[in-house]
Amino acid sequence: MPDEKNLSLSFSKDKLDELVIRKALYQLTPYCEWELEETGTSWIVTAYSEKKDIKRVFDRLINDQVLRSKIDRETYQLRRKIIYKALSDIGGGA
Amino acid sequence: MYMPFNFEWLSDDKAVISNLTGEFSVLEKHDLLEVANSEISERNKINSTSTFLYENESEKNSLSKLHSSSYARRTLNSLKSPFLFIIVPTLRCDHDCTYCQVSRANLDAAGVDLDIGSIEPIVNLIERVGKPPYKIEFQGGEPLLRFDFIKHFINRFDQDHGEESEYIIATSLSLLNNEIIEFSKNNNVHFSVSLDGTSVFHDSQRRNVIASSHQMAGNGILALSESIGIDRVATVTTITRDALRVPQDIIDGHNNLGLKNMFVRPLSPYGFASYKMDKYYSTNEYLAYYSKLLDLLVAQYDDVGIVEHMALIHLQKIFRPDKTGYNDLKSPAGYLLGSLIINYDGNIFGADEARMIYEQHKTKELVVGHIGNPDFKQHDAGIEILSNSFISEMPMCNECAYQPYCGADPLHHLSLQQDLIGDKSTSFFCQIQKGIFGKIFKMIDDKKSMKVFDQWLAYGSR
Repeated sequence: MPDEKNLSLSFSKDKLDELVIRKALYQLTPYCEWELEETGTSWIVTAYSEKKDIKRVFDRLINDQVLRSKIDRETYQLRRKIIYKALSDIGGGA
Repeated sequence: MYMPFNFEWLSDDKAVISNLTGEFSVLEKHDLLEVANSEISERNKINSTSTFLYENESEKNSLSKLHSSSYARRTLNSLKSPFLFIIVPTLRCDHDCTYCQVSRANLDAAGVDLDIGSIEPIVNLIERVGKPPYKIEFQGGEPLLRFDFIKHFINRFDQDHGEESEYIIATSLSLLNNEIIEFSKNNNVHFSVSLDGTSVFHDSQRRNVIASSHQMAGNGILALSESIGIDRVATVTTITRDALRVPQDIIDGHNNLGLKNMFVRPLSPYGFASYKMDKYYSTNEYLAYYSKLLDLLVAQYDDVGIVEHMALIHLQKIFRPDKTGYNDLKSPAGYLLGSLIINYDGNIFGADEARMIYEQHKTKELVVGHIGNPDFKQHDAGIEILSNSFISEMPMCNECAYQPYCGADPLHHLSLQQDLIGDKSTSFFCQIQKGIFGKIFKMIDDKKSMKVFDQWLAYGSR
């Protein structure tokens, strides 16, 4: 059995939110085990996987979460207002 | 500027976007990035009645009201869908299926049957909780082992509700006889029959010591088709590992019997079926099979004319959400709100999955009540289950483009992950639903496939 090759990646806290990293890691779970650590300036992700394409997978997930995060920032308040109004209308009509 | 929306990649170059109204659009990657950066140059690239974009405050306010009322309507739809009552008259069965989810009992087992005397309290319960049109399904075990119970029940219920009731018997048809056929002809009885392809696959999984299960099912389907009409016979196909290799087999199995409808589902890792994990396959393996099956059904539609109802349910959730009350795709969940199960021992459950979990683990919290004393007020577990079934607030669900059409299935996650919400990144339910929705949206984006889907939707609207 070959040893697991750990992939270690570092992300600047200035460039990536903790939530983006954590959401991407959540979606990485089916692919491999992982650990998240932090220093004063960086997030350090260690992915435990023998697969060579795990970095590519994680890069794709990070990219995906960055895009979702941007959309969410633009629309979060409006979305909450819409859902609140919808549920209020249901409660009033029940 | 844009209203709140979610997206999912269909390929490296295409994504589907959706919003709280349930509207969707399939975009090229560069168009999606333009939308996200508020750089979209032509609004009609999204769709002709775009509920996604606005140019000024007035448009934003109008769209907000539209999003809000659409979201409210979809949520109310989950709360007010048609109600299904499932009655389990016996746990005894003359089959021994490899993927059986319930603890089936042998033919000579005692203490696993509903007494005829329980019919009156069950009728009272249904009248108290439900309203017309009534939909009542008999499951098992093999419910035809208790045709006496079924006949008594239908005769009793029809006294007051004959014009507004539909009955379904979920059966292998191994015990079908002329008496049952004649009774079904004169009452609004439908049949749901397991048919796992041609005999090679069907008999290897659905074992009967007397004869070929497939032959009995096939003969029964033909007899029912001649007497009560093929429209009152539906099939359920559970795909096993061996069947993954040959998607054409299930099409042939249905076509050979003149069947125009099928319902295909994966092995469900519930209840006692979870002990037979060696029969299972990965979600990717199942989705690859299902994708090929849909491609074949669309390509062969002019010849065989078969509608696949799992896909139809997903299509209805997208295009006609008021037309389907499928409990697994509801938010809040269909638990208690969409169905009640009356078990062979008189215990009442809020979902079929709850009955299966109870049979395996004797989880008393999932017993809603008993037909002798149906007090639902003390069912704290029901509040807990329903409270944790709003997917717009769940991790991963809250940012998924399929959210307007999907559901929570809390009991699935309770059974497999010991948590009502579950970890969607490893959830069997989530992977299957995302795979099916992804395939369907790809096909919606193809004109030829969508033409067939339109015919399926028209059939579903009858």
